[in-house]
Amino acid sequence: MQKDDYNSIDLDFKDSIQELINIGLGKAAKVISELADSYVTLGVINLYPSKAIPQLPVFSSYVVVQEVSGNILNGKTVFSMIDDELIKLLKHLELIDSDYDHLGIQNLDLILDAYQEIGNIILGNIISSIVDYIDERVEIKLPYLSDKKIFDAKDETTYIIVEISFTIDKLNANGNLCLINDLSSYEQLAQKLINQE
Amino acid sequence: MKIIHIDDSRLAIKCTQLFLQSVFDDACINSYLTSEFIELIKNNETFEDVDIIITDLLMPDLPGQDIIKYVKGVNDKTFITVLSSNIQHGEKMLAFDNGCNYFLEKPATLEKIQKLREVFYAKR
Repeated sequence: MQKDDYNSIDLDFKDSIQELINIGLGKAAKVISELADSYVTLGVINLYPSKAIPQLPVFSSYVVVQEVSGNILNGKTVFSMIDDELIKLLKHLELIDSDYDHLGIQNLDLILDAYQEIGNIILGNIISSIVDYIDERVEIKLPYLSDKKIFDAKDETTYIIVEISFTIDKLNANGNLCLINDLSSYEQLAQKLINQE
Repeated sequence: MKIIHIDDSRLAIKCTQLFLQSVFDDACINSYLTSEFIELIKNNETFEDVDIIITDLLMPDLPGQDIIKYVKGVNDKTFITVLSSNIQHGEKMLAFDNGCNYFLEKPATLEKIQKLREVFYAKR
């Protein structure tokens, strides 16, 4: 299935996905705002089904991945900030000195730990808000750092990809979130939501 | 007053400790990575002199739900607070069933820690 095929998806289904994503986005904005003590602008930049997982729209060396498994929802959520943007946030959190302008070997463990924890906070909150909304429960696994090739090339599953960008206004820092769940998860989620209504 | 905070992230420990020191300015605050806290358990620590234990849920080696059960098993009087990003309703209910007294949603903020102080003294 290619990006254009999204137009052929049932309208109720698309509405349901959008509603669930909006729940997640609202929570993400609140959490990032609390972390950075700043207003946050956040929006969906792409939403499409895909069989082959595309290269994620990020330029950082690593992304933070958090996997989810449950009766209905299965998939991965991804958080990324490119180095320069991450540095702005880490300086704000007073984790690195204000004159530190690149991510070097120095304090690398601490920086990667922080990157992973920031991803964990944002992604965990998004997932929780979505599953609570439909009265479900999932297992949220430990987050991990990964390069951008996070899917098996032989995987034949169709996924719904939701690419989200955010800007932390006060820091002028940007980042990306990506929700990647298999199509059948979303079909079940949408059905449950429609039944609730 | 003594407070113990357990997390697997040094960022979470550092940020939370700043708020704890600000709000509980008369308290002795000890922060532990999960691996360090496991050593306390191995040494049969009973936490009798600890007023508040704050724990994350999602941690390698020792999940927070197990920490709650352990602490409640050895000392029922310690006030246990969860500080986690896994804020699912079901996860909260499980934590309360295990003996958790209060649940904070990550990230920690000054306001949330102030609320913890209020709740702690109200329930004392």
